[in-house]
Amino acid sequence: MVFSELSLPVRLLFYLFLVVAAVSILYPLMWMSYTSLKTNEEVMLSPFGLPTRISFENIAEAWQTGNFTRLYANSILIAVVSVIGVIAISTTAAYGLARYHFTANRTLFLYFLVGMAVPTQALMVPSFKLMAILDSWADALYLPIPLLNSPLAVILTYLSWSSLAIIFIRAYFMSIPPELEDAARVDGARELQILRHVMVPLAMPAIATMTIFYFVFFWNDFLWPLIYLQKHTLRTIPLGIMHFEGKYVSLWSLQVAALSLAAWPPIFIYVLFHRRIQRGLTEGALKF
Amino acid sequence: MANISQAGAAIPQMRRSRFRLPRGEAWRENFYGYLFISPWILGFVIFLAGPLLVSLGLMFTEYAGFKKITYVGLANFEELIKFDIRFIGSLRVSAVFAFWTVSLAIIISLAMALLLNQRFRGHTFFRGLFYLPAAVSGVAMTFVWAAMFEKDYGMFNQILRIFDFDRVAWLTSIEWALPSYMIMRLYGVGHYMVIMLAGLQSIPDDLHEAAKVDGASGLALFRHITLPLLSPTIFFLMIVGMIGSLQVFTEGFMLTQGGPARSTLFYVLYLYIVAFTERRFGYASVLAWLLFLIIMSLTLLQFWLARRWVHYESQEA
Repeated sequence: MVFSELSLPVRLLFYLFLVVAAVSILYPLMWMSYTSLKTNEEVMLSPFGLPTRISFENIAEAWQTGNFTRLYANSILIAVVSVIGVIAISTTAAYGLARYHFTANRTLFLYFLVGMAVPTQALMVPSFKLMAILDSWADALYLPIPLLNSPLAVILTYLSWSSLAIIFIRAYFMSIPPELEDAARVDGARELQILRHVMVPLAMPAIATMTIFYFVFFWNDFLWPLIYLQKHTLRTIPLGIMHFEGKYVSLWSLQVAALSLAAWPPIFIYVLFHRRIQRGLTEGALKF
Repeated sequence: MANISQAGAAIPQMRRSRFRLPRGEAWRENFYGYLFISPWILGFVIFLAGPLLVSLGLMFTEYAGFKKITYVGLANFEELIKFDIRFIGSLRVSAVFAFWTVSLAIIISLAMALLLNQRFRGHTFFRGLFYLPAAVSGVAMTFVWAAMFEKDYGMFNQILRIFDFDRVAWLTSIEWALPSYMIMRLYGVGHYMVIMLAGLQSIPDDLHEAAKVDGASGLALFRHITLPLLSPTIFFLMIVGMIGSLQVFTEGFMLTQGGPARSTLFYVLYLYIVAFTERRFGYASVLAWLLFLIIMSLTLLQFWLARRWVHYESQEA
């Protein structure tokens, strides 16, 4: 079936369907965004109507009372450091798995699949315990590495979740012809240089897709910060939002403004990069 | 003929040796191979395999997270099998949830992907739009949903009112609470759709063209070409989707905490409550391992079933 062969009414119907679907999918997000830009009076008068004029009073107040400067700083720190770590670990591991025939290659690759099947929540009890043990060891050795009530605990846990990125980047590496590396080798490049200057630039679509994917994932993650970060100064955005919503239950407009502050960054990143994400997903496909 | 097939069999071998370094020594392959994967192995062993083993030991203990750990033998297992109604209930809630969300997500995303795979004006725009909700899942989205489901002013009940239906107590009634979570989950179906689209686009056009020349109808094309060639993608989504929905936690933790009457007590939510509210880490470890085993065996079962219906192109070569 080729679209241009269809008759005009069918095509119009098709577009109508798409527009209806798009509006209903976007509605919750649009509602959140425009409600947070309304004044308090307008929210009271018509809770679901469009704003007649844009006001940032609720956004500003939510930012102030929710201490969003701190929440953003904590979330950005954890997400950025974790993403850099995950990408570095999985790019090197994917290269090793794609290009070297070391003895345990096949077996290790199977471990990833197991690694993906482990429900991370099943690990929350022992991971919590493990961090306490590591923390006490660090303490006994007078090392200044706090692992309890510290973003480091969350970051270290995230770093062990590289499986998906490894599978994805490995598949992409395998589609690159090895002649390019051989040429670089003849020119005297060392293995790490080949990875950095030949393979990484070529695999950029896959790496970029994974970067965005993991960033949004870490940004939205709730469970691990909840378990590791009890101090309120360490809260990430999802934790902060949860406490905020509990505290200002009756202040509808303020609540929604806080939600917007949490949801806009991933939306913004997505809108900025969505072509890239889609291209990466399509090209990287799923070659096992 | 024999020569040709032998030559064919030798090709993988030849390609393999191309990857070798000029000197071609096995130890270099090993050295660099292990060197490159070592950071991952280190993290994997310490923060994934380690905790998994620790919880294996904790299963036989009573432990509240403080200094004292008491060995209790098989008491935790006995409790699980004999006395725990909440466990059975939560297992049922998660199973029902996973079954419906995964099957519906696959059907909806397949339909959407088929539509958006047509070359019409604006197809990239619509693809991007439908994927957007998947990018903003999480805590903020959950609260937006709570507002949509609100009994008096929420969007859903406003729509029902327009059509003169009775209001529905979405998140606060036993019969509607779980379906409400399913709707929430299906909102992120764009994620499936993008992967489905990638699968569709990897199907070569000439197959469809050839079948059309042979006079195949649209439905026959779909059943005998599109669907078989898409089966690896569908299979992948089934596994990933199942693992994901059995692990659902955040939404339930924030909105209903398992209520009303435990109708939304998801398995992982129950696990969390046992561990961090009741502080029974030993018993929680039993629950955690059981979940791990359930997911592993379901995955293996699907791999086994997949041999009957998943079609890999390379099998025919």
